Amino acid sequence: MEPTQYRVVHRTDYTYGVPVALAHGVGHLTPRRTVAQQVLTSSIEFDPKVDHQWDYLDAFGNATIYWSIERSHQALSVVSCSEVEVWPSVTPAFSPAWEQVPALLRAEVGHDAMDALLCSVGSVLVGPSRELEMYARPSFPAGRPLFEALADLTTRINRDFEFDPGFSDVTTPVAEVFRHRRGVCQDLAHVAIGCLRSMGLPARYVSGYLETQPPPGQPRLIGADASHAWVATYIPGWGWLDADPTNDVTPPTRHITVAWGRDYADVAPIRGVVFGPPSAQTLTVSVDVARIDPPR
Amino acid sequence: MTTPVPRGYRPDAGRYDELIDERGQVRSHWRAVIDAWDRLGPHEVARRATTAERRLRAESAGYVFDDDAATGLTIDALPYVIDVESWAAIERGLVQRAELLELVLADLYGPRRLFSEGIIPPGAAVASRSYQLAAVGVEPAGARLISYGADVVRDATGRMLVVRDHTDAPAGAGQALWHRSVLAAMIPDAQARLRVRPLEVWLAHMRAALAESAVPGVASPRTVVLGPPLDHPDFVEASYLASNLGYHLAGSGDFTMRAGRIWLRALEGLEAVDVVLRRVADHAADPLELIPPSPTGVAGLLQAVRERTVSVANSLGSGVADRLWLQPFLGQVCQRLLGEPLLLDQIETLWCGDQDHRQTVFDHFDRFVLHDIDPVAPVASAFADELDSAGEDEWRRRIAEMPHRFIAQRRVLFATVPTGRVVGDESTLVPGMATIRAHAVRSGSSFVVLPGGYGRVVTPEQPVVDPAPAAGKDVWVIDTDHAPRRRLVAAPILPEIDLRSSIPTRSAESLFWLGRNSERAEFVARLARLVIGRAERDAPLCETSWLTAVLFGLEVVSTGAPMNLDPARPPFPAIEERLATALAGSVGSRVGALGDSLTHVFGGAGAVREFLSTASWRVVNSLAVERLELASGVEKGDMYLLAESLDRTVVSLAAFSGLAMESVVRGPSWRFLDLGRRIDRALLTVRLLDATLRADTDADVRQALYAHVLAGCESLVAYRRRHRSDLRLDSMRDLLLDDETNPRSLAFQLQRIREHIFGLPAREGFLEQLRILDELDTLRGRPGQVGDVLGLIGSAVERLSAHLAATWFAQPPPLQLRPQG
Repeated sequence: MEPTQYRVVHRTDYTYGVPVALAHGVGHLTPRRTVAQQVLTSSIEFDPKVDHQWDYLDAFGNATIYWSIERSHQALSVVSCSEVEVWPSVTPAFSPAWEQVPALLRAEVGHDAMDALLCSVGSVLVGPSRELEMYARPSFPAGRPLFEALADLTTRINRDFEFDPGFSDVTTPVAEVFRHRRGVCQDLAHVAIGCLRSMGLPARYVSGYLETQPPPGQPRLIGADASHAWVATYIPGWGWLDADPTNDVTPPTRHITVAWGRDYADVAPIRGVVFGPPSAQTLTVSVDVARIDPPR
Repeated sequence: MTTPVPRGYRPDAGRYDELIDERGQVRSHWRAVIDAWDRLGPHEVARRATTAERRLRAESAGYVFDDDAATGLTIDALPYVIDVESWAAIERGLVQRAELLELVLADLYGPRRLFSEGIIPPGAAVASRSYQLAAVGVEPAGARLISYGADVVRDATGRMLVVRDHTDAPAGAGQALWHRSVLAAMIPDAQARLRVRPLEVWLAHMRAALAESAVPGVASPRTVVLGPPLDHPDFVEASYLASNLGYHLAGSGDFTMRAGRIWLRALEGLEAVDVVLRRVADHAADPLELIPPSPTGVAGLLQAVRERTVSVANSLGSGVADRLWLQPFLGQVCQRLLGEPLLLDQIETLWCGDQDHRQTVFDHFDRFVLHDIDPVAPVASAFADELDSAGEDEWRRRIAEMPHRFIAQRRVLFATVPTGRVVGDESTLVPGMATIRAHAVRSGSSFVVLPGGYGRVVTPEQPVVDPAPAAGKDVWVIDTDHAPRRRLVAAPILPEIDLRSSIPTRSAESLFWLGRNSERAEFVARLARLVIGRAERDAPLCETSWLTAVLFGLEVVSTGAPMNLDPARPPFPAIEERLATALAGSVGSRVGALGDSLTHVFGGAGAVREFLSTASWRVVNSLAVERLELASGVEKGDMYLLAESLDRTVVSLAAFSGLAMESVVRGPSWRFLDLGRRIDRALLTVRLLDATLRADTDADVRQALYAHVLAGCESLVAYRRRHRSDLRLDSMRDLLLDDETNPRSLAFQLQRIREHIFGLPAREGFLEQLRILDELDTLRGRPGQVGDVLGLIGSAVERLSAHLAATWFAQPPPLQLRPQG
């Protein structure tokens, strides 16, 4: 198996109706290194240039950037470029029965186990609930290996929910998405997370990108022109296993991982505040992910 | 000699009572206090208690915006006396808890072993929405816990129990100091004679601890208090603490984060801040990184802590230990981290997210008090045994549905403590219940406990963790003769800051409006007094046009617009009714009515407490009392009472403005106060002239009208000294508009305003302000009918005021960027 190299350009443009005097922002914009992913190059360009910038790792080890722009400006563009090398994802040969996972998890130590603990319980945007548990149940018959259960849940969510960019925004509660059975990739990821947590299992939110143009003969994936999101659960003794309910792939292919957390709020690509008179704001986002042809 | 049991005091048999021991005798540490009360006698105690209560309410003027809250402010005249031995046990227990909680915070925001070792369930921390993941890995420069609070209570068996811990922005120490000052005034010699441990030492410890928490290398750190908005209930204490500690009190809009540092936006520019004493919940301290999101706060505060350019006390994220969720596990945590059991017992507390705990709660439902730990929309706490069956089903369903959110605390029977009750003009003692909010402040690697605390008399219906207002009860720890006196800590070196020029923007704004509102209140009170005076004397004349015109002027001056009346066309509502509107107004509708202006005077004064002299503060307090008198006069329609009260109000307001001239240091703070006053005086003078001179009056009443307008502008005597003739319009115009030697004239106000604008630091907008002033001078000098230009002058003054506000006070709140999916 060979790795694939991608060039990612993620561009975000804000404009403000009137100039703002000061802006602060936090971004999760640089792909992270994982067992299956190497980051070859990365850069973030700001226009106007930031006055101060700090890079650090957040509680989940995601590359995080904090910036401030301390001059009057009426527009902000943030362009994150990176080149990554992604190895095909692997499927665990064996996974424990889902019911055994909480106990196995308690016996483990280390970063992954800590993340798994924090991701087993409700977070700001996604808590466990009765109705999510009822929905998830059929995917979790007694003794079923966690990998199979996750794949089944992913397929069901993909089948039962309609991808609808017009229905929700980032403030739409999971319960609402669940009731109407529609939403975008992050809503579907949140539903999957809620289901897993309702079953007492760890579930984290993964934010990243998809290849924009599919290789010949393969379908174009949904969510390829913006940031994408999917879910991962933790298999004790093996590691985190990703699943993409929007495209029904477990584990996903042609996915580039940027950051993970408990839900969208932990890893939003850009959060920020600006100081100026209230005015209208526009936001445009574009993501382009292209294969880098291997040198001949 | 034994102290007799107070007459009629009968505690329940078999229940621990703080005053009476098992043999039916007064406990020894209470004797001196009970003897002192006996010597005063029931009448004198009752009289002093009433005075103390009035003093408490007057002191709260400026904080309490609605009268309902003010009437809820009471204090028990009898302190909660605690013996040295009991107190020493509490002290040891609290110091242990504070040290333990520091370690807990360091772990939760560091290695998180308490989670991975299974000692604390992460689900409980996360469900409280107070575990700030953004702060994980952030290493503050100093300690995380600078001040710590705990609610303690004695149960019916005599054990002292901890009800809950406070680690976020522990309130209550300011209340304790405040209540002590009220009680000390009631019994002036008690502190020394009875050897009550003094509280003031707490302030010195607090200053030292804050200085020590600063980033290493800062020689004399600058500390600023981050306070809640003016109308927040906690503002009272924040302001009291800030002025007692000697730090500026600033709102979140007064701070900014630039170049990685936190700055105070002062008039002279940005001033670097080294330590932020946080008096708001941690999630409300940074709108960008902390949860749940808050519309206010200092964007970048956490980042500055991350970069170790500022210290925040208590550290951002310390609110996580403030919720009840930690309590069920604290015993195990103590064993794990300190290798010893908790010294103080705590009320049995269970977390419903744990299956065993939940089962216990469901099995013994009636024994518990139920609490929701969600910080955003918590369900009100409930006593399980008082729920009806529908209520119980609802709670059981809720807990089953979202077990992580609920905490159950065992309901315990409290010990009784004597509380004073005034019946008629006598004070008696009855057994009541009280809790104590105790406080500890960091001292090196350990903590010092405030010797006393903020006691609250609780009713049986009220859960102890409920923050609802209750009667205060000062806590006295009485030293026995042989107990060694505590050593005082040396005051830390504070930075040399010229407080004459350093003013947070919000304070400048409050001073400006304080000036405007006190001037308006004085003007309206004076005019109203004139109207009442004439109405009393010339009762049959009340329909005459001059009085109508003055009334009309009063309405314009007090509210900016007259009631919907044509001044030329009677009949009008009764004078009493119109006066009532100008004086009392009704909530929200008559901005500018006397009552409304006075309320804003208290509000403004409370916000700038540190700039006002003690005497000024006393005048503000007397105005608070007067406002209540005025309201009752208006309600009764009693003109005599009103006249008396207005006289006192005018004198107090005059005293306030005199003190502003005589005891406020000349600097920007004084300039803003005076600017406000000058602007309102200019505005009200032209408004009064405009409103009254428009009225078409007969020649025979014109004299009376002019005399009252002059008196309303406090210039009648000046006129008489200058002109020995009848009152004439052109001479009046000269005196009130153009005479630069008359401190009540428009020209005089404009001159002062010009001086202030030149005296303030240069700012963009300066030229525009001068241009409006030039325009005003031109208008004033324009020949012709007075009436034609008054409206133009009025609107130019308003424009100037708005421009000054926009230049100096505009602080747009942060706008959140739209999130991308």
